[in-house]
Amino acid sequence: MTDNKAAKQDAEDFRAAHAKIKTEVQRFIVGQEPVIDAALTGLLAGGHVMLEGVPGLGKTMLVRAIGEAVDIGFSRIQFTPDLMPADIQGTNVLVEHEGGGHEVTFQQGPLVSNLILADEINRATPRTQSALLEAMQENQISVAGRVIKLEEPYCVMATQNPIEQEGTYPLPEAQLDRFLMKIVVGYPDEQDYEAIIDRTTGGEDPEINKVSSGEEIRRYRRTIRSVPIPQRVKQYAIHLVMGTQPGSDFACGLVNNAVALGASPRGAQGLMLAGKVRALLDGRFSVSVDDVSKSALDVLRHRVLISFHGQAEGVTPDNVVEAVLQHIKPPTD
Amino acid sequence: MDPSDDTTLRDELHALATPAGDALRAHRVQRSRTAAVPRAVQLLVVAPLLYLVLCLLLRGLGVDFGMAWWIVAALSIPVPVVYLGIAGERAGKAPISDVAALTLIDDGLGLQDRLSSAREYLDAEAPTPFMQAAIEDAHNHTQQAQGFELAPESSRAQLSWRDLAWPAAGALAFFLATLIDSPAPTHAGPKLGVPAGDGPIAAAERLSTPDADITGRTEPKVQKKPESQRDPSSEEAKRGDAGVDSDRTKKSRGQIGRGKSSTAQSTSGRSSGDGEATDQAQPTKGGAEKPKKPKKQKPAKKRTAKKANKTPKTDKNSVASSGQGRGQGSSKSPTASDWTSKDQSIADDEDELEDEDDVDDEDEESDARGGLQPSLRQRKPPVNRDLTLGFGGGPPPPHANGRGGPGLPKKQRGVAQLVLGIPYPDQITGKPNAGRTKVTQERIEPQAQETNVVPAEARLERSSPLGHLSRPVLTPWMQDLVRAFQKTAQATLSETLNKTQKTNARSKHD
Repeated sequence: MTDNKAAKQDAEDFRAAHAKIKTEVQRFIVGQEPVIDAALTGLLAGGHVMLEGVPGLGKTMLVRAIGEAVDIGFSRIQFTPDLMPADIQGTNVLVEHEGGGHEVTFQQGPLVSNLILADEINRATPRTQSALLEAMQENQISVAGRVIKLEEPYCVMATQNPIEQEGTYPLPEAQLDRFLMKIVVGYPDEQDYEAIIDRTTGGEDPEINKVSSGEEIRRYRRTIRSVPIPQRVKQYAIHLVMGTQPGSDFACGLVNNAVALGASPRGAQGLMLAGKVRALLDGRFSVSVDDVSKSALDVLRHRVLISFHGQAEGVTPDNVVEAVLQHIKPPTD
Repeated sequence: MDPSDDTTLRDELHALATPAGDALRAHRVQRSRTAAVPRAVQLLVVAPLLYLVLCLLLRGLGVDFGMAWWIVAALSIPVPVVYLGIAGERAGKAPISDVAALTLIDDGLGLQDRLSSAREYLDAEAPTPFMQAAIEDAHNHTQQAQGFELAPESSRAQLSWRDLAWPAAGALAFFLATLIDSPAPTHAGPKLGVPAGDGPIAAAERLSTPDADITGRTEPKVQKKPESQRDPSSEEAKRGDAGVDSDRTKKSRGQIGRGKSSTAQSTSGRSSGDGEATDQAQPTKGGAEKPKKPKKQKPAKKRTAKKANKTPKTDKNSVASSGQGRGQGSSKSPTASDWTSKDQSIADDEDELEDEDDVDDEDEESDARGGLQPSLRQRKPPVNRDLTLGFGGGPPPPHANGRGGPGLPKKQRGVAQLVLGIPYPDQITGKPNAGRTKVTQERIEPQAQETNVVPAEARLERSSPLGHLSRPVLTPWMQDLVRAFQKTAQATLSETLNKTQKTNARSKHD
């Protein structure tokens, strides 16, 4: 009975914390509620988030707001073509002592923090992008003969611009796969524009209070991983992931024709984690098929690589995921 | 949560799942039957097909088999019906778990898998706190699920044109079987040799064409014999007839289809004929009536020109060649003589085409050269190269036009040409034309020459003896001369020194 109540309390705390952080962020960001939910899902579920959208939609501001609402280390890296791995990981530098003499000391880069804003990540070279791989997957950095364990919670929120592709370096599949979600930020609604204008051109600057901490985030992450998954939902998630893989038993015609590479097992992990957050936010203690299907687009879209044939026919990853969702039915028995 | 609560919830969920499971079973039966409809429609062809096969077998055995058509029609219906029944029965027997039934309720009521998940967690060996919370949450929603009825599922079978083709095929088989099974108008037909299925119209047509009838009837019997068992006399007799109606014979053999081409048949059949042109032999169209035009004076066309000169003979040969396949005792296959007819029949057309092409080419060439050029096509017969024996001074050959080719004296030069007619190369000694001399200069690029590289090293003091040095031995008179020169030089030097000393001493005294 006690365990039961503790679980309910944890779920309630999670919902409350999520609501508080969301409220604080929404003081800064107008509209974009699904985007805020997805970004917080990534942070709370222990994943990394990719935000994609045209300039001026508040992607960077959203991450900054989350970093300010949660009392954790926050660092921003503006990715440019001349950014080197040592610039973000850290490097040995020669330091002159006050009393005379020199010493080589390690100066850690901005990657050593809790919440990393990798702004315009596709502007950096693949070499620098790859410097993020170990940090994102292993939560550690191997640099200058040492291994730096990154402190939990660790979350990379990257932004990228889908246009102006000249002079950019598309992220490799290995790195894209490490993002739990890819959120497409769209234009705000008509009514949101008025609020944006009022807030940004007025005399008052909204201030964001810190409503959560790193310790709480770590606890919520444990809570999320405690949510059980029914067998039916597991099967459904597996079928969805396999449905994106061309040539599999669950692949539909569009996948076989237009997809070069489907989602990996990380896709199924992402579906489960995102589904657990949704279930908790919905006041449930178990993941449902709806939780998985509603998370599928954000979790799977960047894991689907469209073939040349598909690109020629104008097929997008979103088309593929939607086709898979229509094709795969939840198992009934 | 108490264990008693778990039991209560389990019972409640089971009570909810039972009617839902029945409804789900009914749905599955309905769905499986619907899915089986296309296959059942295909099975409509089974009974008519069996009926057709049976009719054919019994007809072949000569057994009169009379079955009422309605029996077959009645038998064709139960097969798909039984199939549908089996499919439905199989689907209905599949077990339905409570979780599957509760999933239907969850989906129907929008409970987000609460009931089915809770039912699954009830069977967990060590339920986690969140599982217990999920079970308790489901307990609160069981009341909502009371009285839930699954909406009846209306599924309609989707039949494609391919599925519908099967019953159509069954109907066709049934119709054919009915035709076969129906009693024949005259049973004496097959005994008289009239094939079954031939009507009076076909018989009348055969009567109107007696030759075709004869060949059509008699040939199959002859053709069935193997080649080795044929009677030569009968073959000869047939060949006599073949001269009259060779075309028909050829056609009839072609219809029999023994694997030989009609050309081969006619060629061998012509061997004892009178030499009339067959279809394969070239008619006299391009031969006797219209002699061939002499072709271009190219070496490749000589044969054609020769043929033109001997047109009547060639035509005769062409006819004969088409009929001499076996008559000349050639060991070649009859088909091997095909080249003659092909060559003769195609030659005219090909030459005409080539002529037209050449004319076009020359027109284009003259245009390309920038003006009208003299025509190179004189249409004159080529130079007579007949190397017959003869000794000079005779009249020029009638066809000589002075445009090349060896003259008569040249032809007579050399024994080989005179006796054997072998072309002998004409060799006339003379000086080459004193024209321009082309001077070619070669520019030779300097090339690196490989040498042994001597490494540089410091020059040290000699450590070993120099060795023998040769001294030139002077002749005596030269020795005296050198000695006198040295003495004179020394004397001059000493005298100069003395003078200098004296001068210095005087200057000191002064």
